[in-house]
Amino acid sequence: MRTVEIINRCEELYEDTHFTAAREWKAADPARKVIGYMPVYVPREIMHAGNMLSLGILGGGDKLEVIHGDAYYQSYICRIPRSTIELGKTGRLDFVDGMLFPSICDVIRNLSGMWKLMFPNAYVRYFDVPQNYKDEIGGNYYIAELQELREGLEKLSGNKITDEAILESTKIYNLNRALIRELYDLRAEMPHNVSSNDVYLLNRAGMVIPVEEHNAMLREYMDEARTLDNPKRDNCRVIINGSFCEQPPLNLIRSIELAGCYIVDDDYMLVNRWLLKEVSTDGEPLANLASAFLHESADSAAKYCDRHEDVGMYLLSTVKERAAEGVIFAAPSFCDPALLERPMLTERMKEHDIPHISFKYAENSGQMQPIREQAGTFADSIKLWS
Amino acid sequence: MSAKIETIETQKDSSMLMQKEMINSNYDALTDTANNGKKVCSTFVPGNLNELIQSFGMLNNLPETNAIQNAMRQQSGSMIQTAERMGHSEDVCTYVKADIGMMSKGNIAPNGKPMPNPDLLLLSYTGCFTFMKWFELLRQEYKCETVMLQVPYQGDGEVTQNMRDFVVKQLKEEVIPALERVSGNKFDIDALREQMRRSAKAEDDLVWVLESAKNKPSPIDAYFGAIYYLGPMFTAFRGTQQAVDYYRVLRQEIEQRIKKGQGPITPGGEMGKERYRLVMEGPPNWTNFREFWKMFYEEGAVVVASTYTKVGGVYDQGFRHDADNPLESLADYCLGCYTNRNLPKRVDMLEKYMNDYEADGLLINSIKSCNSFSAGQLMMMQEIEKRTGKPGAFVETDLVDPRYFSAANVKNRLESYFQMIEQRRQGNMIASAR
Repeated sequence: MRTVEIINRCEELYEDTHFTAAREWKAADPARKVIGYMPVYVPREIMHAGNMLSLGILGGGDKLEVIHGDAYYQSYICRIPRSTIELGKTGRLDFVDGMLFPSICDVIRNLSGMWKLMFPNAYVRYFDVPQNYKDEIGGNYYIAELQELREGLEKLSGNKITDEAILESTKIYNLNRALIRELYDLRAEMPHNVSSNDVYLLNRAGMVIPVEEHNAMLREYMDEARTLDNPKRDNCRVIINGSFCEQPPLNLIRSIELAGCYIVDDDYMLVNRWLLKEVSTDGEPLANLASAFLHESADSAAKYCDRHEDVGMYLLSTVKERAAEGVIFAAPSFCDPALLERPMLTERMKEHDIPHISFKYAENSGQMQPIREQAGTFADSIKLWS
Repeated sequence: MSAKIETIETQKDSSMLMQKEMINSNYDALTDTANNGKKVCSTFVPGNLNELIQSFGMLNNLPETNAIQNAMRQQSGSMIQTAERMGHSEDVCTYVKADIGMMSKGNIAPNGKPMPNPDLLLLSYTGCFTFMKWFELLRQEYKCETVMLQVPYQGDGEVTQNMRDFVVKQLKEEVIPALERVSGNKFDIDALREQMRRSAKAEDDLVWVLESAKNKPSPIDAYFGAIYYLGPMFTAFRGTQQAVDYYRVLRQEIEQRIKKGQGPITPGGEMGKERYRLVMEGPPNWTNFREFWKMFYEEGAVVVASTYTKVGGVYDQGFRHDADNPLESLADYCLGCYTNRNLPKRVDMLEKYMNDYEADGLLINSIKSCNSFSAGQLMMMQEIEKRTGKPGAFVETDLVDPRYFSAANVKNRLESYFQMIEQRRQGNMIASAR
């Protein structure tokens, strides 16, 4: 299949706010369950091992009209919980058997309780993660949390989730993460062949289809993309930071590219890349996942940085690895984690003379001209003076 | 032209004066560390480990309280704007920005003296995500030792053994060693137990005071007035003999008020006839605290129960610091703070208050800065209306940013709300007469 056909398929999945693919997957076997999850990370291996599809819920995007959701929130709350409620209230998630709300901020945390009140028959879990990174402290706590999650999902599905099954699922997700890493490497190497539009849509597809299908899709896309001979543009290489929860509209990503920037790294869907290295597939599967979380996971504003010297260093190392020329801090309006952390990250960038700009967006932002102008000016300034 | 400053005489209970002296004495101790040689621990109100900190002979400094003090002195606005000019987003918590702005303006305490830099940042990460990044920002500034106590959120509305074990383990292996290192003192569990015994005594009296609002008329305002009552308990005095004494005096004072059938003391004197009994959800606005309160007491509205007064510990549901199980008890205290409870539990608590205190309605002061409190409040209001049949209302202000307090809007909303309660009452009377 040509890359354009793969991306067309991804775009169909992206635009389908009724999640038809996930519905069809579930309908094919009455034993199957679907578990929704919100950003930024959940251990999908455990759901997979229980014959469940983990369904990434990243808000409603810019196509969904939010009517019910706005009635639940004040004007100063970000957009993603509104559109998520809209998805729930309009029946778009009526086939979803459970929802996980990871520890990312107070809004998503409170949404977990709202979901319990709105959908009292659904399995709803606030998924807490350790901010203490010592094995015997945060690690033990996290293993017990994972065990509780496993038991909850077993009860929901009626399926025993064995250690062997989790280890097998870990292998499959290891492959998925390796493919995603390869995709990001490929984009950084050949941004003219692998656009950020494509990378974004490929990542989004992974939110709604089975991981095995996603793996095949990624492999096929990359094999084809390497052979393309698209013209190289004199774009500057930038990294996007701060977009790990509420997603920007696709047009915003396209606008940044059109403004003369190659996006060579981003934090759009960290769940696909959260665990940075291969997770061990021997021994205790939950301990393996915990160890990977504590010691080999991505950085984001949703995490506590326990040493001042390390603040911003993950971003800095990404800038260097990707040979990026600048950073665009693009955060959703009212996003506490991203906006609270931003001054510390910009300080780190300043220390290392890395050009950066900041702006805010909402998932339904419609006006792209200001973004294009800002990104274009940024790209020009890098090319001319940096 | 000379500006004429109007001073308003306010009436204060003796307990209020006592409370003020206590709070001031902590600031005096904090700003005198060069002489008293004490080490300073900065920490947060929810989940604060005051007994533990004091058992090491350290002083407790609370950035939220500093922001509140600055707001009540009309100084927080410029501090927030200073922080925004430094690059902090207009969208984030104004406590954080007031704190950062205060630092950049010399970190002057309410007594006019410079605050010392903290020796330890004890991040009690309880019920508020912002705390985590706030202390990362402070660490950047102070470059002092920082220790975190992660308190898991009660996602399912209960404290599990795993959560409790996690907190205790952090206390043993992270927090206490850090306090030992910084203070230079060894951990003394007996000193901690003694502090906790005193805490429990004070907590008994505090609960009695808060529950006195079940009387009609209520002898206290359990939101505006209770802010003063909570000062010692939520800040640097829980576990001290001063706190025990203060709550005993306060209780005696309230006992007298009940005997005399008196309502609450307000800044304008004793409140007139009690016309509306309200349950309040959300923190107060601090920049216009008295103006806000006046909108209530002038209309005869008294708050009989509030959730903000549980943000530094939920004592009226039975929790007491337990000297026999000190670390487990500290863990339960932290885990049980109001904003660490999930939304269904918060709704249950409000419903109970509505019933137990025979309230006429629920009023939510929704705070722009505080997503921990605010996200979900509209749904909470709907739930309470559904469960109790009593009207709810919503006003929007901020903690310490004066730009978000619109007196006319708030007053309009309140007046409409009181009218709604009246109409509901009349409707009920007509219905029961039929």
